[in-house]
Amino acid sequence: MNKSVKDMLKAGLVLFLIAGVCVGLLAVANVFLKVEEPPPVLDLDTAQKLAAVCPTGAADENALDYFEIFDVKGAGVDLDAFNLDESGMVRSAFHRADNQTPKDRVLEVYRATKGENAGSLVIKAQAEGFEGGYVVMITAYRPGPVLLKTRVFSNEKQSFLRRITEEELDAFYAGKQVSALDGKFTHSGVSYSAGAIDKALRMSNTLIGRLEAQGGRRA
Amino acid sequence: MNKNELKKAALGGLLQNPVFVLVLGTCPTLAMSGTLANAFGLGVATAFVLICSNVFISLLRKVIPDRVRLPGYIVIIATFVTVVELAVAKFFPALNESVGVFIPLIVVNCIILGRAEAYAGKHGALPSLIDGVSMGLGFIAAISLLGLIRQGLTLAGFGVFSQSAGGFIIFGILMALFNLLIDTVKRRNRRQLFRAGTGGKQ
Repeated sequence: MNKSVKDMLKAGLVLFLIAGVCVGLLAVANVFLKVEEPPPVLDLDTAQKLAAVCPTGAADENALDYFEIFDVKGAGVDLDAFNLDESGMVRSAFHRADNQTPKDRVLEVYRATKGENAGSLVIKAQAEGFEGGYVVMITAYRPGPVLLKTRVFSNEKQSFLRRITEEELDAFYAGKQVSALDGKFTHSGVSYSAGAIDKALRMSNTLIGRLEAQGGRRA
Repeated sequence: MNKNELKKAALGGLLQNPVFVLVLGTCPTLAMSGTLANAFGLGVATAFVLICSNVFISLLRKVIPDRVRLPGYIVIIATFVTVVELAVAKFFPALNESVGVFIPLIVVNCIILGRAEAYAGKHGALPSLIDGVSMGLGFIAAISLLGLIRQGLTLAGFGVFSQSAGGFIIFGILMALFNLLIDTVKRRNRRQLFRAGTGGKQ
């Protein structure tokens, strides 16, 4: 082996060792300096929207006292894994590393702590609709699980969504046993947005089924 | 290493001020000296990286082959910058928000690579530590002074000084004053030495 090859190998080895030491240092730093995501906070606006699907019997301005963020993990369901499974994305070790988030996913689960529907859960889920935009639905469930009511929480780029009325949503979903719901929610002329509503509700229905099976309402 | 060299390293931050004399790291200096808090925050972050990388590089100077010294230095500097970035994000989220991209950009700050190349790669750990502390303090002082003056002028109603153009004007004036001061002191010292050498006779 001539001198220049030896020098090259030595240079590569030294760089490799330096990189190794640096990686070790960063690993230690990451343990002590990792920034935790702040816990989600329930605001009054959201609480009032929750009260619209899960009536509390109290005035709207007190809605914040009637709901809390539900600990899904504590109830035995891993929401990240659930979202990956239900969104139809191929699960792989790279999803987490790449920070890929499925577009169709359950965003949050809330629980009514007191009032008319104490113990009911409200699931906020989003699904992709027209032109890559989304529809976010909030759906309340009584034990059973019985779908109490569902409403559009927010949307993006769904200009025809207003054609779907609350009466239509109630006629299709409200007051029905989840296991008895069949068929797709459709609406002529608003097919993409209606499809998104259907997807979001399917995800919510599946999740409430799992939570009920785990006895999760008490978590 | 003799006392003289240590003294020279310790005074480096003043006599060879990285901002006003060596004119290194001008981009972050101008960009982040709009307010005193941002300027001081970035100054401390840069000084920390400078000190740590100086010591680390000086310890490894005999191991790192010459042909890969620059990549080696960059890896070391980037490691400390990442540590600083994590620390700032955890303990000073407001500073992290305002200084933003300039913390990761410390990796390419000429002061740090310049000192690694010009000093730490050729000297032992102690002088490199002293050089890092001195240059770091020099940078903190320079950028904080610039930040203080710019913020003061902005608060006084001269909005232009919060912009880069105003920053350049203050930077130029401070640089001129600083160099004038240093030159005056050096000339006076030389004259005194000369007088002492000639016994006071002209």
